Amino acid sequence: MSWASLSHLTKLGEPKKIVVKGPGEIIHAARPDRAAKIAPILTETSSGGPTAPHPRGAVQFIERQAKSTRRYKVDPKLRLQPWLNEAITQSNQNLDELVTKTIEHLRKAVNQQRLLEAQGALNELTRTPQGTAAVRRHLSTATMKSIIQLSKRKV
Amino acid sequence: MSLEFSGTLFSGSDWDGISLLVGVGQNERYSPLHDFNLLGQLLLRNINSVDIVTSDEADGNIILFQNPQIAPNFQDNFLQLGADASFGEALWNFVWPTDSVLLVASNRKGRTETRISFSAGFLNQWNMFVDQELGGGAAQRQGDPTFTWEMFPEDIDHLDSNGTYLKIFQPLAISLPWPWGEYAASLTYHIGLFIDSNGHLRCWGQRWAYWIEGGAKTGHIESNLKPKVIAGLGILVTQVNQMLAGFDALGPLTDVYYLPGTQIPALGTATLIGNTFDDVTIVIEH
Repeated sequence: MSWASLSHLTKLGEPKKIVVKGPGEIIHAARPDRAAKIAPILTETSSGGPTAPHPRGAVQFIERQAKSTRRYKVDPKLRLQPWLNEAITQSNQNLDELVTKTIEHLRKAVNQQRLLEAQGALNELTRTPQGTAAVRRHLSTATMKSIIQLSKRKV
Repeated sequence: MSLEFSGTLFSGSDWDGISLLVGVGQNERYSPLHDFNLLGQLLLRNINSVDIVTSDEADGNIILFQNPQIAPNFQDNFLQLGADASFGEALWNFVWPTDSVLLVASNRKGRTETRISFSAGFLNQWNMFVDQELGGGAAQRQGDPTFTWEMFPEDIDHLDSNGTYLKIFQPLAISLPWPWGEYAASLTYHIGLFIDSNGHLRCWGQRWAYWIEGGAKTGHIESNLKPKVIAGLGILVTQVNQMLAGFDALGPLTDVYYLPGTQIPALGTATLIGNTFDDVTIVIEH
């Protein structure tokens, strides 16, 4: 049997639908001769790990990279935060008020913890289109830029 | 703690519908969103517009991956939305069913980048390596290899889910005398690049694998192929490190990271459509 018999699995697929509008140029990357290309298959007969210990520098690099990778996680304790419960109460079921209070909480001290809390709270609200609209009304580009500037100051 | 850039993924067109605020923090490089992350936010194959807000800290890139064939996350066709540092807010509308998303901060403030194409830079070396290690026997290369990546892999043995790897896939043809005919096979290596304590770019070998078509001669083929594949990983690492020593002249390096496809000049504020099986761009920061 030859690879030609597997072409239905190894032929590279074209994207389903491409419609995009945005700033700047839209570039379609040059593609090598796709007819001749055999895309990777996932099936393996056997596999194995490193045949030599990792160099020391590699171990340190891997650890550093893990720390510099932001995983999306929601803190389950977010709902217990006093500032958030107070904001929920005071906003009286008004989405704009709650978004404003969340951003105010963040602006008071922009640090890792508050950024994550604000992100978690706002992402909870944007689970509905109404929440998305409220966040977009108040988290403008100018507001984001000022938050970024504030975050550069040592707190 | 500052932000390199932030972004929002929207289910609706024109930045409407449900949404997810995402971002990359200061001194961070990547933020991966696997298919299960998107599903949890009801955004799997349901993202139709995006915004990116950059500061002067870095260029912001949000890369959306679409897998026409079943493939692990962050592979196959991709739509990369890029915004220059200090661009402000950049907005996109699109039709692109998205299976996974990767945020990457590039062109960081105060740093210089040197970019190289994985496929262009390694093809000749790879072909010589395979021919030397497998040549003379029944196994021959079947076409060009695929130089690609494996990013934050889930459930792949011997790969760390926090890892970012370069992957080389080589189809093989094993010719046997009559009446056994030809067997298809393949070999796959995963290597990682890192900056060592001298500020030099080097690599390590993480994983080897092979596949052999099933049949009466599979065992016989495997007994010949397997030891060569295993030994080949160390030989490959040695040869790659000899090549990478050529970048020592850049001076002390600070980081190395990857972008999909070929992106030798930085993308800037633009959109790039490509495929991860075509190439990987290795970005050396110094």
